[in-house]
Amino acid sequence: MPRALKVFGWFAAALVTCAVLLLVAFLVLRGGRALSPELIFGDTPWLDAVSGQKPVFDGLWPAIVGTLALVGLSAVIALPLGILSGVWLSEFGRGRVGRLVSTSVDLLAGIPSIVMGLFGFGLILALRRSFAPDANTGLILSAGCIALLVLPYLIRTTEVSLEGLPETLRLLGPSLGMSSWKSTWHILLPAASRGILSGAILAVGRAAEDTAVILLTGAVASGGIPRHLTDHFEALPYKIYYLSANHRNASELDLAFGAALMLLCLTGSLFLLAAWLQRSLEKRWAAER
Amino acid sequence: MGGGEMNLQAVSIDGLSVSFAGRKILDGVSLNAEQGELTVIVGPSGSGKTTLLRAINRLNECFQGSATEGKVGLSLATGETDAYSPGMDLGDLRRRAAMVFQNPNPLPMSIERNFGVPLRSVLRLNKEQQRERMERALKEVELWADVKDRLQENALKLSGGQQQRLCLARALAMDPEILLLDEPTANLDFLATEGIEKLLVSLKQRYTLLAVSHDLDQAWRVADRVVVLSGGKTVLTLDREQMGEHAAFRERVKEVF
Repeated sequence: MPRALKVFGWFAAALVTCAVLLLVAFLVLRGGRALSPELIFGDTPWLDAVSGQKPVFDGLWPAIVGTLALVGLSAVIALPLGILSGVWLSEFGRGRVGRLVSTSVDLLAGIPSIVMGLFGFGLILALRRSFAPDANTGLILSAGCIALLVLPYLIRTTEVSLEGLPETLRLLGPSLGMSSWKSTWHILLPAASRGILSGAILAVGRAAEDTAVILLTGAVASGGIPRHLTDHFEALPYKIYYLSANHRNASELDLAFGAALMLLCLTGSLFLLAAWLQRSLEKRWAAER
Repeated sequence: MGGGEMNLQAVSIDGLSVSFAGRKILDGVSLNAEQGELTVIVGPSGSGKTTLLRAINRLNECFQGSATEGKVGLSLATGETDAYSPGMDLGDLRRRAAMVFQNPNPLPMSIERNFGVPLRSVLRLNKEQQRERMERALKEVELWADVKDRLQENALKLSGGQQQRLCLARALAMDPEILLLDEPTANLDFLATEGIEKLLVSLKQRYTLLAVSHDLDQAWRVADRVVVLSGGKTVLTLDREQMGEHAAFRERVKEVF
């Protein structure tokens, strides 16, 4: 029996690796064909596009900026909320209130993203009918709904990585006279930072790829770079959907694959950034030379 | 008062019961530890030794479902106090009754930061004061010479014995009056154990020491007073005179185990 388990284990691991490699290879092959400066910047010189002097009409640039803005904004909302909720649940959330909060997090995790989008849309409708007749869908609404969507990942990974710390580390702070919050802040959180990072990566990935939420809350097919928080915006996942749904020939479909490849590169670099950030924070915490 | 000085009771525990989630771990324990003495609590595993130690600095309350009854009287520089009196400042109590754990638990950071973090966050000392405290404490545990040139190195690079000395020094840097030691040599080799034992004997002039040990020979070597715990109750207390010869002591304690 253990032998069969071993064989199946190998098989499963190999299958997963093959699937990922195949997917990436396919994406690189088809998307690579379309990948060029024109794909990103259209007819606009790249320097003018990046510095914002000239708008980009036929390129992915506005969608890249839109997605980055969306991910950044939702991270700003979700990271502190999620990590603090995780800390509270792990260190202080006891009894009935703790169970209530924990159940709410489970419920939140179970809400499909299209429902979250619908909720955002409904919120704008309600606002329009009541005290803000000018309210409209836009970047900040999308970011808020996305933040709500990724909160459970952050909360659970923070909670689990804090609870997984050894007892000797958990008791150290209190035994030296630190209050629970001080011990959590100075000792437990830094020690759990690697686990929390994995939650942040999950959340960032999810925020970058989600289409259903932004579909209903402010993403548009072409709107240029968002100028302020309530502007409509372009985003890569929506762009991919739009390009592939409206393609008329193979080379137009390749544009969608090119956009998908861009999205993959974007999330990949965000993961690297997160890992680098975590490592430099850890180094600062350890203060060793 | 005639001949010797009266020994003050630094810790006097009376009728102490502790339970976790309804399961009784300690059942009416009474114990006295005197100033300038090293009191060693021995007993079979599961007898509640660690729980007894953690009842003194109220560390049991870090776990869910703990309930404590009884009296833990402490005689501190600020006067007589009951650890469980309402309004007790837990941070202050735990700083004054410092604890060293069974497994050395240095923080995975530089030696200097291991002192800096608690000294700054609890006592709000500045960099210079932190360094002074650290140096004094490291000298007290005879580790200063070994580490003074490598304070920026990760504390986990030290040997097991050195790590335990570091943890002891970190506790001492907080300026405690009572030291609670939970099997401080359980995971050390015999040479490091010997070193820590010597250190404890030298420290008892300045601090009241309460240690837990599963090692009867160790208890006989270093203790001024031995308290035997079994099934959550104190079953025997012996002072140095009553402990007698090594073999007789072993027999006597084993009987009540």
